[in-house]
Amino acid sequence: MIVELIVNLITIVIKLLATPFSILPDVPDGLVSAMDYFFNLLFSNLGFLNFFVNIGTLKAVALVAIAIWTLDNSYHFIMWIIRKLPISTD
Amino acid sequence: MFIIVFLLLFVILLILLLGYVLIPKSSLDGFVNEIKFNICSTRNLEYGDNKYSVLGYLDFGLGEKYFYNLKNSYKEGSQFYNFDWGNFGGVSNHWESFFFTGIYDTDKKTFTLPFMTDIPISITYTNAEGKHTIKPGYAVGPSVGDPSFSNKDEIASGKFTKVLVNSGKYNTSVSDPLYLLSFYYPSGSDDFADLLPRKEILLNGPSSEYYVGCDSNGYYLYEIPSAALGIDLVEGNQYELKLGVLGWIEEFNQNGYIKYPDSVKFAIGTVSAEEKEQEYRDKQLEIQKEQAETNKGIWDSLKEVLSYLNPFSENFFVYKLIELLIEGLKSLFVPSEDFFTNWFQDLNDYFSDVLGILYYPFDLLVKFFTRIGELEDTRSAVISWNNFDFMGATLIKAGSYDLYSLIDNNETFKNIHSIYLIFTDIILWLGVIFLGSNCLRTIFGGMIGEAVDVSTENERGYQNYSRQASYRKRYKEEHGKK
Repeated sequence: MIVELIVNLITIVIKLLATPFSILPDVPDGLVSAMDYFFNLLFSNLGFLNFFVNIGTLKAVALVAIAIWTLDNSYHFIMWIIRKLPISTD
Repeated sequence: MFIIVFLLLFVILLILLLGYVLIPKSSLDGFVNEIKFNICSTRNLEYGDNKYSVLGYLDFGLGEKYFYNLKNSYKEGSQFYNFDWGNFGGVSNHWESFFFTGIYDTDKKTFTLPFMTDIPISITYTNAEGKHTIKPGYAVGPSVGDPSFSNKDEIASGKFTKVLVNSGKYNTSVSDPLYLLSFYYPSGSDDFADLLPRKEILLNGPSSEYYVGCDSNGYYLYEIPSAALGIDLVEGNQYELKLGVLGWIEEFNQNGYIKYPDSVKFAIGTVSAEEKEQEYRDKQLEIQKEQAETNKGIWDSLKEVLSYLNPFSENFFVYKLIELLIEGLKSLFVPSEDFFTNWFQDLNDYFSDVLGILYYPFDLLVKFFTRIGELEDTRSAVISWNNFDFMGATLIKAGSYDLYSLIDNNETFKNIHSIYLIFTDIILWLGVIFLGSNCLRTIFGGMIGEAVDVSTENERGYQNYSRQASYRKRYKEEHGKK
C-alpha cells in the first residue's frame, strides 16, 4: 500500500511535469508509418542475432547485469539518503 | 556507520526476498486464451449448400451463457438443419476458420459443448496448461424414430420428479411441432372435459427451456420437471401424459393433433403401512444423525477454542498474530500482483499520447527489449522482408534468407562458428564478472591487497604531510618575525 501510494504520487508528479508537452503538434502519419515500417522490419528480424550470439547466454547475462546495476545504484541511493541524516559518524 | 548500512541492506534484501516469495504467482492457470473451431471435413462447405449441419447449441462467452438456436435456416424436406455461419458469434465468413472465447469452468477446468454435427469436427483450445482438443458428438444425421418417454416405467409407477422425452425424428426432420400434453381424469370417466389437455408444453428443440442436449442419434432430449406439468399430482388421482404431434387436419380444416406417438397413464399411488413405517424410521434416523452432527460441532468448536491457547498447537494465537502481522506488512509494502505491469502500461500509453514523437525512442527501446525477451534460443537466423513498393512499382520483392545457410554446407565453417559462439559466451560472462567486481569495489572499497596499498599510501602521505607541516612551522618560527 505504501509503495503503491509513493509510486502513484510520483506518477502524478511526472504527469504534471509532462503536461506542457501536450501542446506539441502531431507528427505526420506518413513519417510515423515509415518509421514503424523500418523498425518493425528490424525488430521482426532480430532472430538473426542467433547467428552471432547465443540468445540464452545473452538473456542470462543481461539479467545478471541488470541485477548488479540495480544493486550498485541502490547502494548509492541509500548512502545518499544516509548522508543527508544529521547523524555524526565520529 | 557500516552497521547501519549493513542493516539497511539486510532489510532491503529481506523485503525483496519477501516480495519474491509472497507475491502471489499468476492466477491465470487454466484460463482459456482462445478456442479454435475447425471443421475437419473434405465436404464442400459453400454457403447454402445443404450438406452439413450442426445440431444443438454452443455455450460460449467468458463468464456468461449465450444460447444460440442454430435452427435458423431450416430447409423443408432436408434431414438437416443448415448452419448459417454468419450468425455464429459474429463470424462473418463461413469458409474461414474462426476464433471465439468459450465458457470455461475454472473450478472443474472443463468445457461443456453439447452439440452434434453431421461431420466430424474438433475444437482446440489453449490455456496456461497447453493446447487441448475436444471432439463433440458426431452423427450421420437423425434416423427415423418416433418421440417417446425415456423414463416411462418411472412415470407409470407414479413416483417421478421429472419427465424425460426423446424427440425422435420430430423437431429434427419433421416440420410438425411436438408437444407434451398433460391430462387429468378427476372423475375417472371419459367425460369430454377430461379429454382436453390441462397443459401443452411445446418441445421445439434448443429453443425450448426444457432442452438438455442430443443423444447419439442427434435426437433432441428434454427434461421436464413434474412441477411444470400444469397438474397438481394428488394421491389417488388418475393422470395421463401424451406426446402429441400438431398438424393440419384436412377433415376439420384446422390444426390439431394428428398423432400421439407415445403416452403413459399413471396414478399417484397410496402409501402402504409398511412404507409409512419405513418413512418414519428414516426420519428418526435422520434426526439422530443431525443431533450427532450438532454435538460433534459443539465439541469441535470447543477443541478449536482451546487450541488457540495451546502453545504446541498450530492454532496458537501468537502464531496467528504473527501471521496476521506478516499479512499486514505484506499488504502494506508489497504491491498487488499486476500493479507494476499496469503502472508501466499506463505510463507508456500516457507518454506516447502526450509526448508523441519525443517518446518514440523510448517506445522503440521498450519494443526492442520486449522483442529480445521473446527471442528463443533456436538454431535459426532468418531475415525476411516484405515487398517494397514505390510509385506503384515493386523495387524489392518479398523474400527471406537464413544466415545459417552460409555455413550449413561446410563442416569447417560450422566448427569455426561453434568455437566463435563459445568465445562470445566467455566474453559476455567475463564482462559480467568485471561489472560485478567493479560493483563490489564500489560498495566494499576494493580487495584486501588494494586496501593495504591505499592504506600504505595514506600513511606515507600523512608522514609527508607531517614532515612538511613541521618544516613550515620551523620556517615560520625562524622567519616569522620578518
